[in-house]
Amino acid sequence: LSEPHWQSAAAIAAAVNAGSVSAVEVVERQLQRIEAHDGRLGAYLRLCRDEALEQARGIDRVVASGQSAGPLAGVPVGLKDVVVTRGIETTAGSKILAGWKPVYDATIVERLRAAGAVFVGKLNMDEFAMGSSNENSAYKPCRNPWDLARVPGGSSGGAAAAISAGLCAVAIGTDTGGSIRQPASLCGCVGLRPTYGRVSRHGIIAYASSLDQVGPLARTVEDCALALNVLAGGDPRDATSVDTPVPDYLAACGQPIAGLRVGVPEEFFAEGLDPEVERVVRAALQRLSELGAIAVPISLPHTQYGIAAYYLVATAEASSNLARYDGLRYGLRLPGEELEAVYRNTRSAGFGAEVKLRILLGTYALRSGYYDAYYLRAQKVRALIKRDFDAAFAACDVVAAPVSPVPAFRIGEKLQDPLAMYLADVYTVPCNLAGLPGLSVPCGFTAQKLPVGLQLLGPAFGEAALLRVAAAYQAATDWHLRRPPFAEGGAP
Amino acid sequence: MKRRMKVTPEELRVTAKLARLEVGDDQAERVLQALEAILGYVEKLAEVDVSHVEPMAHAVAISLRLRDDEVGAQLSAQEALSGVPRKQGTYIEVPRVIEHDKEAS
Repeated sequence: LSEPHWQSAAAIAAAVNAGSVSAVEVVERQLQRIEAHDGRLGAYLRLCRDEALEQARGIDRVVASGQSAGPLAGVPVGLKDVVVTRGIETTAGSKILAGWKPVYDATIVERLRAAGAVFVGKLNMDEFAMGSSNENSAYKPCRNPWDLARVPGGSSGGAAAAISAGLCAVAIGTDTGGSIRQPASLCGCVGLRPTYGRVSRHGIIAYASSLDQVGPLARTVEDCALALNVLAGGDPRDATSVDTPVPDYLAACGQPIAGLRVGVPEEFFAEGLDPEVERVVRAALQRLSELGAIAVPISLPHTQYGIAAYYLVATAEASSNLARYDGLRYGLRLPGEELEAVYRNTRSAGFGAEVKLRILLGTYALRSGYYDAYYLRAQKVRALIKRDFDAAFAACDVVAAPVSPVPAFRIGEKLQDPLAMYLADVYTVPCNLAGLPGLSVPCGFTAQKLPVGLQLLGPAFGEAALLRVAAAYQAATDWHLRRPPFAEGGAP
Repeated sequence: MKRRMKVTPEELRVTAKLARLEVGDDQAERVLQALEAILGYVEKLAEVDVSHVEPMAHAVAISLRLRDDEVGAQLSAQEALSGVPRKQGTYIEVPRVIEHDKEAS
């Protein structure tokens, strides 16, 4: 297995199961590569070297005994630090959870481990998944492998950067308002946000519970499908998970797309869309037509209200979810004369500026006297956004559009202006508000050599259609085979 | 939707108290500015006619699921409390919350 760090998860698992390479060798080489290169990138908050090698040895023993070690046997997987891991520090990118070692594993960690995946480390992220640039990490910035002066996107910035730089084969991210798709687009990898309820969130640190979902990032569409096969399914420990049968997502990849109706929403090509991004995305739509898909103009008229509805719903839910960080039960605790002072001192010292701002905004929007005008109205607009999609999917099978109106921006460029940062989520939040699956697949580069993603949205539980279209596109293009300058000649 | 009132420093103070956060004088101006910008922006929701729309709280219809009343795998008290920063045995330490009542004692 040459250059295992650029191999697909499917290829690694096949080689490990066949005994042609050991899981220990794959994982050791992956760890060495991370140790050699991540200092410049900042994708990982911490490595799990000992645990990973122990896991790899276990997989090699299974293979040696003549059994299959699972569909992800020996595959190096990075976990966004919002995923709870037993005995391994989990911080959600926040100082308030520094040093916290959970006593249980997230359901998806159990599922991935049972499938043979090896966890090499915990990935950098915006604190509590609040951000679109990874600049809100309380620990360190993460950089874009295509241009180290630029952001990788967020909040799963470490996940996307690690995939694109060859620092893991599959990464697990979360997407509350675009946090898988946007960094995947900005870093040039594939990212899939599953339908709300498709994957268990037990053990995923909550940001906004009616919007959060967890999903895979990888270099190929097939690897995302392979990972979703493992991740998807109901869970008695997550009351919002859904028992809808799980199809074989891998089987969806490779099916032709001739005759498939691709809806193109005019509102996603509106003012504010970078002309270079538009050029690249339009060319990708043209390519889908050449592959036999039928372009259908559609309208999602409430798109322009998405950001406003999203930032009210998300912050209101966050203000409630983050009330649990009170200094008593886990993480940071500061002293105080009375109980309220313990809460206040701990939270004021432990949360970063953006998290505090969102808690304040959410608390304000939920206050009596404001509730109807803000939270309730946002929930009603949310229903209209869902209705837009219901109407659209009567006329098309998938929706195709840009992911982000702009390519990766410079570190620091939007940091002083929270609203400007929020507005960059205009094309990703409608999917979350409607609870739908969404995917970003690399579809080209701007003149400045920055990656651009094509966003595909589907009806609820329509992941297979997204994967089918994205796989067909990827089979006809080679964007996913381009490597960032960061990684050239970088193999240890 | 009525024309929104500006967020005053006093309102920020009350909101921060409700959120169990301290907003120092050095941060107050920046926070007020950001809140103003965002609340000003979300005012555009007032343009939308929502008079016949039911609010949407969740993307999927969620029904309460019941399970059999059986003991399953669970954490011990020690495990469950292993992350507690200050504790005595299986108790979490907090500052006194009940005033000592001289007459009752």
